[in-house]
Amino acid sequence: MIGALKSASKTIVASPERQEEASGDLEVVRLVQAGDVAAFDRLIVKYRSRVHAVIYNLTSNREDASDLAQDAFIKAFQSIHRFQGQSSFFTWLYRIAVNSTLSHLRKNRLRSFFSLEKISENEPVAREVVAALTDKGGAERDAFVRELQDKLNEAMQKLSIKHRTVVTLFEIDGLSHEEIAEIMGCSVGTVRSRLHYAKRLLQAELQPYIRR
Amino acid sequence: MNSEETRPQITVEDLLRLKRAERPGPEFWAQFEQELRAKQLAAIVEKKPWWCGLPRVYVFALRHRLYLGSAGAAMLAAGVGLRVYTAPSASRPAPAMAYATRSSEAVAAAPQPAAAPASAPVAAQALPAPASEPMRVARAASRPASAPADPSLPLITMSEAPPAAPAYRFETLSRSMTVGLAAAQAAASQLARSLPGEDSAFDTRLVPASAPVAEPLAQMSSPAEERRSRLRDAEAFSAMAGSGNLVLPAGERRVSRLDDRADSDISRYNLTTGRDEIGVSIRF
Repeated sequence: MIGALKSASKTIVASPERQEEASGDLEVVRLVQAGDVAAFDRLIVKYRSRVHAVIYNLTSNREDASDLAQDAFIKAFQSIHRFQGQSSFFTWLYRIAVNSTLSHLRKNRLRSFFSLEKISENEPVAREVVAALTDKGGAERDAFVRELQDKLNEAMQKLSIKHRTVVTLFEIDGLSHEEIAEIMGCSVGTVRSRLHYAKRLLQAELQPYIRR
Repeated sequence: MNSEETRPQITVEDLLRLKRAERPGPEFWAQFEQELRAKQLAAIVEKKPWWCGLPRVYVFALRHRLYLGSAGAAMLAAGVGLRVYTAPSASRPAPAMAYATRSSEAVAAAPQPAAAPASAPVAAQALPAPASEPMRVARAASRPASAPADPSLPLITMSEAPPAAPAYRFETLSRSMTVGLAAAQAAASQLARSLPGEDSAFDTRLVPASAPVAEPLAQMSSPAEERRSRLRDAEAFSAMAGSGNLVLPAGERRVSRLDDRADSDISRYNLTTGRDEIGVSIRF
């Protein structure tokens, strides 16, 4: 069951898909650069949920995530004439979003509170994980899921900003080490090391929910 | 079989995948799009700041002007340092080092160069030896015997040859300092000459190292001499006071007036002391 989850997560990192995606994005970007402002809406619709998810998982606050995602798209729109296609649009957009979020988190380091989205059990991933953790049903199950979500977000917020970013991009968004290194402007080795360290900390924090 | 054993493993990665399910509903995206549209329109009509029209180099310079200023100052300092440490050409005379190594007799007996121009400043004429001479003498021990040394200079022997870089730096520094000093002296002497009514005797010149050194003991006067001079002063003072020619300064006059008053006050009290009694008589 969980093995199926792992294989599903790895399909996101498929490189040919990314290349195809990048070439399609580049065409749209050229249109926007030529003056077709409406073409940018296609990029927004395509990436809004992923950009929002990354920011939300970094901040654990849905209002902040909404504002920061909008700001990231506005920044991308304002500086799209500087985009030269040396990297994929998706990497470029992610870099803008992550950098905005990191600067927001640094500014508001002392003021952080959770405002969490509800875990949708319509998602097959969530349903399978929750089923593996508990066999309760009804209200008890809902309470268990809420408690698990709180613990998970607490553990994430205990990580440093850089470690949290690596974990979010790799484990939740499914980017490759190389893509994360490009987005964060560091080496692949640094990404691996940060990921290893962050997972060790998370393992210690989430010990009651881990079963070997 | 226990139900706990049949349950699958749960890892950190599995738990983190739960967070993928934390997604907003469709109504959220409607609002998101509306807000984004408003922000996008605002960004389009927003008046750009004036520096957006400038090339990026200027924008960078404006944003980092503090760093650029610091960098400029550092470069200037480095340039000045380089200028100080730059070696002048070998033909330029740098005579000040001669004073550092020559004895006073050698300086007094130093021959004037015949080729020196008549209009050259005195400071430059008094120091004819090239800068390389003292260092050559200083390094005589490490040089081959064929190199001729100036006999008027004292030989400073060194047990080992000095390291190349510090010696070179010292030589270069001394040369540049000497050149600067000579130029300053020349400018000063020219300025002094150009002044109207200026006597050439006041021309600035370097104080030679052979100037007689005053012996401290010789400068001290003997106690008998001091006593004699004090007596002479007292005699002269009494003579001037007797003739009425003495004019004291105001402060001294005030002090003497106070002294006179004190004398008169004391004279009014007559203090007598006997064996068993003390008597005081006061005159009014």
